[in-house]
Amino acid sequence: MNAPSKKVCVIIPAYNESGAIKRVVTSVKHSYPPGDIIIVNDASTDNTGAIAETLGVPVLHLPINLGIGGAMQTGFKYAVKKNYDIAIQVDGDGQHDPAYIPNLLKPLYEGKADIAIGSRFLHADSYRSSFMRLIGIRFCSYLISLATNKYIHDSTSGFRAYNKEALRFAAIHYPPDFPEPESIVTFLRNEFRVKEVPVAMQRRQSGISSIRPLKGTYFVASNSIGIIMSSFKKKTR
Amino acid sequence: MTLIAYLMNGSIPARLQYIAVILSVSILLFILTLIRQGKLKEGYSLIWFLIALATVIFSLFARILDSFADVVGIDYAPAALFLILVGGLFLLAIHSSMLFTAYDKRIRELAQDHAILKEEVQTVAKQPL
Repeated sequence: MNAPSKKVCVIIPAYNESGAIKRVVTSVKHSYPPGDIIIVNDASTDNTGAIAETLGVPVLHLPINLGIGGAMQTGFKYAVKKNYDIAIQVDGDGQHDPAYIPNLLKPLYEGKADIAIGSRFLHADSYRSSFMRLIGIRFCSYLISLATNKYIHDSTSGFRAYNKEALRFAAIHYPPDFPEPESIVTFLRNEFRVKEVPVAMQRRQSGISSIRPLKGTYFVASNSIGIIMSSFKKKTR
Repeated sequence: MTLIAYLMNGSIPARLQYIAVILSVSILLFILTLIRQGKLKEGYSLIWFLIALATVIFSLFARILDSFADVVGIDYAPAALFLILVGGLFLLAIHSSMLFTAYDKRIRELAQDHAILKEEVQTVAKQPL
């Protein structure tokens, strides 16, 4: 299928991103004009919701905080309901550069993958990250490779594109608690083709990462449990 | 009558048996009261009811407790009562976690549908009639 016939949406999950959300939306509009933007406001306690309302794009306001997984699932459900062919996730904190959206879409258009993941580690302009964070991501990747026989370099990356089939699946089965690494296992086990695409990632523009340094260990531990547990889950597709 | 008397007379010390019977019957009555008052939903009370009933039976008919202790290899029969109770509570805890999981899913779906519907209502409201 040729690219322009596809209906593409860009889902932006945002939790307390009042400092970045406007810039993220502007930059998506600028970098990828054909994409319809959908903001998911995950019950922010700052004025993210009010700012989002002024940007002229649909905003889904969650009444209670569901976390990134539940928020993304909301976007997926909306995208399925509005009959989108492709959904792209761009985090509301500004660390994903929308200029790479066409790169993410390429393997989907070429029919080479169902899900494309933007990987900061495949990119030449290597992402500078703290040592501990790197260890954490590597460990998650290692566990995923044990569970699925496939090594995903940037297992925690949320910069992703989903084709229609993957989107429909994610709307129902996206893991709600610790989604990024765990969802890879869920997708691979259900025989979706996952492909990594090199992207550059920026440091956060504002707000606080949902992964705070002190919580890093907890993040890795809980993700590991998520990965292990989802590798026991029944195939649902 | 003699069979019942026989079954009630186990190796458990008499005083301990009285206390165990009184406590387990109280728990059973308490659970029945909660169900009657509608404070405990029947579906969720079943497991509580079974635990209470099991402790009543095992403390009242001490011979059965003795046989059970013998089968699992516990020398001191009253300790078997604890094993039964702990086992029951363990099942109850798992059951509760299962309920939380189900509620978590329901609440999440409600919240997501709420967010989507709200956006759709707003879109309709903005359109000129």
